[in-house]
Amino acid sequence: MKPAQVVGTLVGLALMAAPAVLGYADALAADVHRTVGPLVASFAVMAFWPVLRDLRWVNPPLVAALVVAPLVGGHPAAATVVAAIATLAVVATSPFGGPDPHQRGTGWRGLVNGP
Amino acid sequence: VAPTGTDGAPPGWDTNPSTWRQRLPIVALALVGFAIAGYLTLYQIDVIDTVWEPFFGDGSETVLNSSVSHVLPVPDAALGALGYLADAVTGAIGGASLLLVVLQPVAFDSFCTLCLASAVISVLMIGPAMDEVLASLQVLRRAREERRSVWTTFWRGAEAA
Repeated sequence: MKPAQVVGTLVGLALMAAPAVLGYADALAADVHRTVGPLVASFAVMAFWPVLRDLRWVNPPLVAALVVAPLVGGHPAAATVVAAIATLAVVATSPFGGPDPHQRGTGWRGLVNGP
Repeated sequence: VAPTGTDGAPPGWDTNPSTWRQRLPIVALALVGFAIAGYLTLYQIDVIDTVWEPFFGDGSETVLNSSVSHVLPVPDAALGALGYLADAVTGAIGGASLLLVVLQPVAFDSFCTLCLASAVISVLMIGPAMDEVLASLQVLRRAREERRSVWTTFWRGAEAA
């Protein structure tokens, strides 16, 4: 079980569908959710592969955009609730992505730090 | 770049990321992606009149006829088909279609089922390919550390340099 990846994927898909399902497709929030949603889902799916486990840490900063967006432009109540739930779910589950069971030499960090 | 070590595994690795067992799923996904992108290309170049769309009404036609999908001299689906074909032949990784996934609803207020399916395939191909990408980058990094030619190592492998 990999909560970060499963929740990230579901949250991303939900963000893509929510504007149409909850009736705020014409609001600025819809554009924000439909932009962040595919990104969150994609990084979560990629993080299912052990070699890309750490990609799950990209998602908390991404969903932070959902929190900031209502401060910039007006958001319908439904969009604000969706943003709050999505942010809480992604941030709370991000630490639980599962270990990488394989040895990969110096890993990704070795590319920067050297062998 | 051909990583080498015990059983072909790169130094410090417990598996060989360059086996066909690792590559075949990528090739299979690429072939499915090629089929989808090829079908969408046939619509964009007017070989077929309609495109299959089970969920989003005329969403596929809106997206496939949009200005963005024709911003280049060739239809974007044709580029996708070529990319998938290259992936299938080389086992390499193609670019993801994330930008188009975002643009579908944001710019055109429409979704395209087969475009989304193509994007999902692109994303699914990234994970399995990254093992080999990482191993290859490590070989190049070692060549640089050991002051061997990174260029020669890239094209002919660590032994050649």
